[in-house]
Amino acid sequence: MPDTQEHEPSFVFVGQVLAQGAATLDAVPLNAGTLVVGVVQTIVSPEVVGPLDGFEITVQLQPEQKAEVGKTYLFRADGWLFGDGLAVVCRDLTDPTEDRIAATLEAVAEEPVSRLRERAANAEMIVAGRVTQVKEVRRPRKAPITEHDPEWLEATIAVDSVEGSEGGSDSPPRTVKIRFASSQDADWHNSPKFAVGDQAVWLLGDKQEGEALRSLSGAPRGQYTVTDSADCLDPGALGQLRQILKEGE
Amino acid sequence: MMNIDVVNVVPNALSGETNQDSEPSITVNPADTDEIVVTAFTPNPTGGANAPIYVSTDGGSSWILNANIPSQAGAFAGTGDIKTVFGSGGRLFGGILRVPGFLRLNILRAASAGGAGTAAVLVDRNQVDQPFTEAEIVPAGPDVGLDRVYVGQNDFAAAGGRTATVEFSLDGAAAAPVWNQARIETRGTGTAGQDGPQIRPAVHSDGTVYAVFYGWRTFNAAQQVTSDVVIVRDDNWGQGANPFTALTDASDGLSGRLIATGVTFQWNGRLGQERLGGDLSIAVDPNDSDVVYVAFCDVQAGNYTIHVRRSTDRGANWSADLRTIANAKNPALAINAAGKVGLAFQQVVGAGAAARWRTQLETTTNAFGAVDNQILADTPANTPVPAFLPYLGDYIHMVTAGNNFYGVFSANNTPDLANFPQGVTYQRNADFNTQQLFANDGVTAVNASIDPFFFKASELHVTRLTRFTRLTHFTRFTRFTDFTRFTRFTTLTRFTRFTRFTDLTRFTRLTNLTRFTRFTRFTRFTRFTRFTRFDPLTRFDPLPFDFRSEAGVLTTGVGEFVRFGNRIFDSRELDLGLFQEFEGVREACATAGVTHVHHLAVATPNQLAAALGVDPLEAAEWIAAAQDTLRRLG
Repeated sequence: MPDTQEHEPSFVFVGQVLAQGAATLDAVPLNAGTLVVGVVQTIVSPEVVGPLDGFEITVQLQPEQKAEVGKTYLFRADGWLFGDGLAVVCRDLTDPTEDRIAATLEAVAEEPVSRLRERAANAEMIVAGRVTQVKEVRRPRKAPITEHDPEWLEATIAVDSVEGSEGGSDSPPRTVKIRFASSQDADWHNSPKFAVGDQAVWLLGDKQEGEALRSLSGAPRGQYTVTDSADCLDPGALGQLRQILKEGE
Repeated sequence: MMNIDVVNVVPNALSGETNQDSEPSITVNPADTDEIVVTAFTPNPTGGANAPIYVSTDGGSSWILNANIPSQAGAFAGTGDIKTVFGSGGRLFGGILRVPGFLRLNILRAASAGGAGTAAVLVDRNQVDQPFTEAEIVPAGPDVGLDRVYVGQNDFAAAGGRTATVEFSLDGAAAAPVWNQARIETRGTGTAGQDGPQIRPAVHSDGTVYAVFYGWRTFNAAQQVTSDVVIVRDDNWGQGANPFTALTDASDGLSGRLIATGVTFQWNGRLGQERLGGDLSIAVDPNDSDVVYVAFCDVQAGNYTIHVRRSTDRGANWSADLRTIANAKNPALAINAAGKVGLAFQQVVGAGAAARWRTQLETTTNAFGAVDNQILADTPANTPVPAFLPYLGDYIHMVTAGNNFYGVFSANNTPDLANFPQGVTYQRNADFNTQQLFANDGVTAVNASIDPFFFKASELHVTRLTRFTRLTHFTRFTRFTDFTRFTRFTTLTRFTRFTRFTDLTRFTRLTNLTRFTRFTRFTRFTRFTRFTRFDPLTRFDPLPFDFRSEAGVLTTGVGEFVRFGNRIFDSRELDLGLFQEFEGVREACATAGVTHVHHLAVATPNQLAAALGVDPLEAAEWIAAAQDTLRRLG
């Protein structure tokens, strides 16, 4: 099943329609909207797949979409089936003019910035600093014993600066406490881990889901839970973040 | 003896992936055993919002990845725990721990495994661990065709710390299935305050449903677990006021028979970079629901150890250990239609840098009195470094369909044939000579990682009497063995590039419609009929053997050919001197110019009698003997 459209399409490419009602994968059910497309230029493709230039792939059109055999289009598509070949589902297809390709490339480059802008706007607090202490969190008495236990730890961050609207506060905090999952379980492995001495920029809390995040780790009010690696930026990103915050004012 | 095929299920289009695709499970569509689904901790390759499953529609030869499990865009491992099972009509049921969420159970249903569409969420709630889904289709009676679906789970919402639960629906295909929860723990869980995470159901088509679980009794500060191994049973699909209470234990009269008591292990211990915390598997004989096997793990003499036990009276009484395997985990039991029991497991052999994960399949027809042990994979235990836990999986899985065992395990994917004694097929780009994986471009080197490997173990039932028809399709899995030497092939028999002919296929009989090309090799055993067609380019070579006469003279090359019935002989093969039964008449016959069996066979009694000066009746006996000999040879 194709991915949902909550994010940018995972495949963007220029391709020529080679056949209609045909596919490069046996598993694809054929209909008039099933195309074999020869990829001419890859603009976006997941790293694991790599450039598709020169490959023939299957493109499944939406019911309302049309394409002509022999014509070349700019396809924006989502991944569907991966086998001996690749099948994608088309979000849209347009003439591959230079302007459109340039606009697409710009949108792709802009996406990480857009995500950061959105995240920063939802953060309760943004701080730059360093970890000065990490300690175990007392386990709640009735916490289930499970292989998926997040194994919460509490990190104390010495705050160097508070960014964004909170930065103008008369009494910015000197320290902030965050909880993070130290577990190596599959559910938590990708959750950021911290050690004493780590320096970073943290985007803390969430104006919409802050309470849910706090309750997840059992953090008391005034503390935060960090489980998304996108909430912890390299200190070198501070300049870009400040620019984004400034633009948002 | 089983014929075993092993296939790395990672599709070619994902040749560049380095995921830790651990904790696999498998299900085979009962209506079409070519359709198979494998699950693992595999992320969506495009970071999309659905988690993927591996689907094969050709019996496991090839696989695609289809993202149809609800998840979250960018989720690291696609889903948390996942175990799917086929129901009727190609329907796929699943129990997962949903992302996003923590211990968030989703029970899912997809109209098909490979089709478009995100699986529907039938149940969505929190505080549940390790859902393990099984199903059976009601074969007869008023509910015929209904999907009975059972999800073993550790439900922390259960009262009193008695968390072992089977959640089930008697009609999983209904528009809005009704789900029932059976709390199957009846004893106190002491300082543990809960049961272990593994609750494994096993469903028989006669309505018998077993479930086995670790009934935890203590859990101390050092995370040492003391547990019972408990089995429950229901005799009517879980219907009735008190489901899963058919078995009681004589020691306390409570529901749930104790298979083992006081077993101990270290929670979150380690073995070969893998975590430990209990392992369970259960299998019921498809032909006799009285017979049920259970495998569990504990620590014996410091070693994490698999135990296998059996009941032949519906779980009332249990054997002692039929099999114990030290330094091993992930037992996966299954029983085929012939009653053969299979046990797949993963064992660490060696130590330190030499440690290996050895994935094995044992089969037995006499309750492990004797086992046929086959190594499926023998891979380094120290590489790659774990990306997360579980490294290979908290479980692997095996099922049966008919006489075949279908299983899946995860292992280091280095393309080294020495690691796969049964042979292996990769779909992803791999060079077995340099033992190197490559990305889609075929050039960029890809590091080794953990991949799921499908295996199929088939009974070899091909005998000299087996006949393949023109509709027989031979696949890459078809192996011709010693026993197929008498196989008959027809014009429509399809041979693929994977078909292997052995030395013994020289006895193959070819039919009137068989076509021969220049590449066909003929031996002295090849039989031709009047309908045999030869390609214009067919080359006939000299006989591929030398001939030594009775006098010791060695000759080679083409001699006189004699056809009898459908058999062609070099005439030298029919020299009377080669046949003991003609020892007494050979010299006499020679005086009349009769030197070969076929000469003698076509003689007339009176002529032969006159030439040799013997009674015509005696001559007739010699002739009959010669004809018998030819018939025997033919």
